[in-house]
Parts: sequence; C-alpha cells; structure tokens
Amino acid sequence: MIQIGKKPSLKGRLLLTLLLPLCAILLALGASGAWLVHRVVEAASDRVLSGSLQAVSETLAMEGGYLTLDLPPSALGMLENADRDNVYYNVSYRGKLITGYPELSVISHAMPLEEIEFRDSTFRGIPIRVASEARLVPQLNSPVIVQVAETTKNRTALANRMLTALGMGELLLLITIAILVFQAVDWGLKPLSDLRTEVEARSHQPDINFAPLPLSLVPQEALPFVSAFNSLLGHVETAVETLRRFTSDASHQLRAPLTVVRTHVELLQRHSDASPEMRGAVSDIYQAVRSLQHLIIQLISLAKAERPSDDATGQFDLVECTAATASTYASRALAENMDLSFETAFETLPVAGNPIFAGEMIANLLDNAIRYGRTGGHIVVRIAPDQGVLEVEDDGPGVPVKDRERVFERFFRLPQNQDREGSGLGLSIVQALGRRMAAVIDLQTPAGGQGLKVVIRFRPALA
Amino acid sequence: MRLLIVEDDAALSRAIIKVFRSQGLAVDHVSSGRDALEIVKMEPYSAMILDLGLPDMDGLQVLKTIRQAHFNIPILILTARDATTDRVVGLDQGADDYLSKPFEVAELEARVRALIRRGQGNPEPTLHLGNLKLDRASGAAYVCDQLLELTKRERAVLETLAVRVGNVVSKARLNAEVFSYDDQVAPNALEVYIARLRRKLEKSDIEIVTVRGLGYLLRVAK
Repeated sequence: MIQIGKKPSLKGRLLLTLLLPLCAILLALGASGAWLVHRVVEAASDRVLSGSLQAVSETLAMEGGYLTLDLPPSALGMLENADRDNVYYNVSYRGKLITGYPELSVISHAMPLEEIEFRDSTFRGIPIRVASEARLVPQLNSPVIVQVAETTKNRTALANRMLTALGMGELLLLITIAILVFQAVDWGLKPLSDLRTEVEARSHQPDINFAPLPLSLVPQEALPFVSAFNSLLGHVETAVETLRRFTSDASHQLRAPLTVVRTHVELLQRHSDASPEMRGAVSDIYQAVRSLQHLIIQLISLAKAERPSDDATGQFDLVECTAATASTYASRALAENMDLSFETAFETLPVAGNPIFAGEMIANLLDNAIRYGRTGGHIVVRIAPDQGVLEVEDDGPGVPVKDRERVFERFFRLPQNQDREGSGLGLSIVQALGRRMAAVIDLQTPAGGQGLKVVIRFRPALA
Repeated sequence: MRLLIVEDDAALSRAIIKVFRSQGLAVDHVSSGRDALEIVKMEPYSAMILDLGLPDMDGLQVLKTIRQAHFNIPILILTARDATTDRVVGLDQGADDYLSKPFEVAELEARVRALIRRGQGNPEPTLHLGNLKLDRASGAAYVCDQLLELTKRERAVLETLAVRVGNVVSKARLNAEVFSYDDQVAPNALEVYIARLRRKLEKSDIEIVTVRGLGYLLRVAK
C-alpha cells in the first residue's frame, strides 16, 4: 500500500494548488454577487414603492381652497407582502406637514419636480425605505411633497434568500471540484496501480520475472520512471543470472580436481605399509574431501533449484516418490543405528509438481534427520491423512523455535551442529525446490515433544 | 582382460589406471576422442571407461560413433555433469552404466567388474556376502561352506534380497518374485518366509532388517 501521512500526497498537492485560487475566485464572485443581489432587490422593491407613491400623488387636488388627498386601497395594497411590512406616508407643503405620520421627517429643501427620490431612514428605530416626490398642484405655487415609506423586512428577507442560494451554489461547486480532484487523481493513477499489481504479483512468483513492465499500460507522464525501472530490472536480472551461473560453473569446475584428490586419497588408504601418522593424515584428508564434495553437490543442487525452468509443473504420485526416496536412505539410517519407517494414509496420492524435485526435497530432509538426529533414534516418513501433506519426523535435538526461520538461510547451522559434517544448505535447497512447486514448508515439534517434524504441503494435482 | 580408459585429466587417469592394474587387468589409456575411436578397433577390450568432457569432441559423440559401428564393448560413462537429462541421453545412446564425479573408488571397481562380467554373458555367478555364499546357477546357499536347507520359496526370497544387498526391497516386489499369479497367498505368507529365513541364517553374519512401511533389507552385520 502507498503510505499516507508524512509522504507527499498527489491529491493534497493538487487540492492545495487548485482549491486556494478557487476559493479566492469564489470569494470575489460572492462579493460581487452580494452587491448585485442588493442592487436588484432594491431596484425591484423601489419600483413597487414608487408605484405606490405615484398612485397616492395622482389623487392630490385643490377643492374649495383645500388640498385633498384620496388614499386608494390599491395604492397601499400593492405594498402588501408576506412579511407584512408596515407602510407609512405623509404629505407636506412648504416644509409643513399636512397629513400623515409626523414621524416621517418632512423634506424642507427644494426637490426637482416629477422625479422620485429614494432614501434609507428609520421609523421608531426600525429601518425603512422612503420614496418622495414633489408635485405641482393647480392653484398652489409651490410643489407639494408626498412621501411613502415601508419597513425593509421583505427586501432584507429576499436579499438573504438570494444570498443563501448563492452561498450554497458556491459551496456545492467547491465540494464537487474537490471530489472530482480525488477521482481524477485516482483515475489518473489507475495505470500506475495496475503496474503495482503486476509488480506485486511477480514478487510472489517462485521465479522472479525480470521481463520489462509493459509500457502500453503506462501514462505518458510516468513513462520515464517506468523505463528507468525496466532498465533496472534488466540489470538485476543480469546480476542474478551471473551469480547463478557462477555458482553452478564454479561448483562444476571444482568437481574435476576434487575427483582427482578423492581417488588418490582412496588409493593411499589401501596401502598397508603406511605409518600410523600417515594413515591418520590420509583419513583426515579423506573426511575433508568428502565434506567438500558434499558441499559442492549441495551448491550445484541449490543453483539448479533456483534456476528458472518449467519442469516444476506436472504431477506425480507422492506415495511412490516418497517410498522410493526413503528406501535409498534405509541402509544409511541402519548404519547409524536409526530406525527408519514409512507410514502412509493412501495407496497413491497424486500431487502437483516434479517428482525429481520432490525426491530431492525428501532426500535432503532424510539426510538432515540422519545427520543431526539421535543415534539409535527413530525417523518417521509419513504421508498424512490431510491432502498432500508429507511429514519427516525425528526424535533428535530438534530446532529451537527461535531458529526455525533462520535454518532456511544459506550456510546457517545450529551452534549444536557446528562440529558435525554438513553444508548448511539442505533446508535452503528444500525451500527453493518447494517454492518452485508452490509447496508450503513448516517446521514443528513432534507430538512426542522431542525432535523435529518437517511438514510439506504439496498442491493437489489438477484433475 | 583389457580395459580402455578415455580420460583427459592426467592425474585422474593415473589413479584409475593404478586401481585396475592392481587388480590384474591390462589397462590402456587415451586422452582424446579421436584416439579412443582409433584404438577401440584394434584391441578386443572387455570394457571402456569414457569421460564425457574430452578436449577434441563430446564423449557422447564418441559413444554414438562406436555404437553406430556396431561395437558391443560395455561402456561406463564418467562425467562431472550430473543432470538427469545427460544421464538419460547417455544411457539412450548405448552406454551401459553411468557414474558421476567424484565417485568412490570401490564403486567404480564394482561397476567395471559387473560390466566385464555382463560382457562375458555371465552375470555374477556366485554371490559372496560375509560368510554367505549363494550359487545362483544351482540355487544352493552356504554359510561357512555348510549347505543351508532352504525351500524353493525361501531361496527365492534370499536371492531377491541378496542381489540387492544394502537396498530396501519392497514387499510388493518380493511377493512378485516369490509367488506366481495363481498361488493362493495368505496375507502374511511373506512374513512367515522371512521369519524362517532369519532363523536359518542365525549362524551367519547376514541380517534381514524390516524397514517398516517400505520392505526388507539384507545387510552384512558388522
């Protein structure tokens, strides 16, 4: 998994670079939007207010030396609204109130005729909007000033509703973009995550596949990285192959001189006229040559086990293979006074893999059991009733639980066995061969509480 | 009897020559494939030890050429390669036996001896195991030169185990060797014969060991 946390996140970066300017834009948009809303609401409400004002001023007339005014219900009715704004009015002449609410301040300055003026004011502490008009009435030489006012509840509410809608819209936009960024990053990274799946799948294969990653999957931006990775893969493959070939070649080359030494030492051992010192020395050389030979053979085995090839596929009879391998170790076990026995829950048991590999695994386990087991002890090779499970069990000193991982490492040997002959490669070979056949190997303590039980679980053969 | 050794490693050749000369064999040695093909026509060799890694040609090619010329000389292949495929190819192309380096001298001696005998059409007429002597022609068995009284089936069991001394012989294999198809065989018949044989071999240093689950193994007790 990709580590989230202190690692730089593409999404984070993208969001940061995208959302900060976006917020600024939205803020500016909001500010101008609010201004516009205010203007629109004011203009619309003022138009109604002016309509109401004109309806009142139309009725001004002089009748018998008196200024008369009719208040048509429609004039004030058009100002009625859901928020029940209060409506006030007054009429003044030359700065003196003639009729209406005295709390509406009277305009005493000169006003242009036939033009409606608007202003904000307060009426008993409540904000109001006032429309005023100066109108000439026949028989009067100064204009009469009519004012109509309404409280601003309705227009404020309207403006608030519109501002809320604007704010909601902007928020929605912000969230949508954030979600889109996340999805776009995921979508954009999809080819890379496909590549990751491919790389991960390879690391679980018994033989690492060093073939270059397919570039067809790779987005253009990641191409240089993947190309570099591919060339690294190539280098690693060459290095691994060189190492394998070296191990194998070197071991093969060592065999020839070793054969010469061994053959001559065996001939020397036959000479009866040698002194006791000479015999001792020859015997020591012989032992050393034998352990060197064992080591070389194990090295070749390991190199072969780790070399990729297709022969790990197929199927074979585990019972037959195990019995045949165990049979070849019977006389060695007997020579060490050990009791080797074979138990099987099946007559035949087809499993997946290669019988030569499996035989070599069992041979290495038996070699270990005889080499490191208890003289006079028991070795049991068992095909368990569970499908495809093979067990090799001894009652020797066993492997301490803390070392059960490490014994699979090359050349690792338990301290208790340092003075015994052995290469330290047996279990590495078993593991490498097991991996090739996808068999699982587990070290356990036998039911008796003493010794070592190696459990190999083979895959069932394909029907 | 004459033995031909084809081996390019001089030091190893000297050792092998010494081994077989000490046994009274006439030994010739060449170190190239071409020389081997020349000399094999000239002398009636009883057997040939052939190294696969020769300087001038592949040992398998030498083997093929000899077999194509219809020489029936028994050939043992000696090689530092041990891949199973090499072994199969070698035996397919007419080798009689195969030994990979490094080998045990005693093993090489035994295999060459067997090859020579087989070439003479006389495979191991008498088996000597400790103080047991088994005459395969007559079927008679002796312990310390005293004839053992054995039934036909006991003799069959003993012989089957003796020719594979030191190796486990499975019960199925023994049953197949000892009983014919129409024999009415009790399930424990084999165990009975083994038990009787063990009693009769008490005075010998031969031991028949039961390897549980696998079969029986005959060995010379130390």
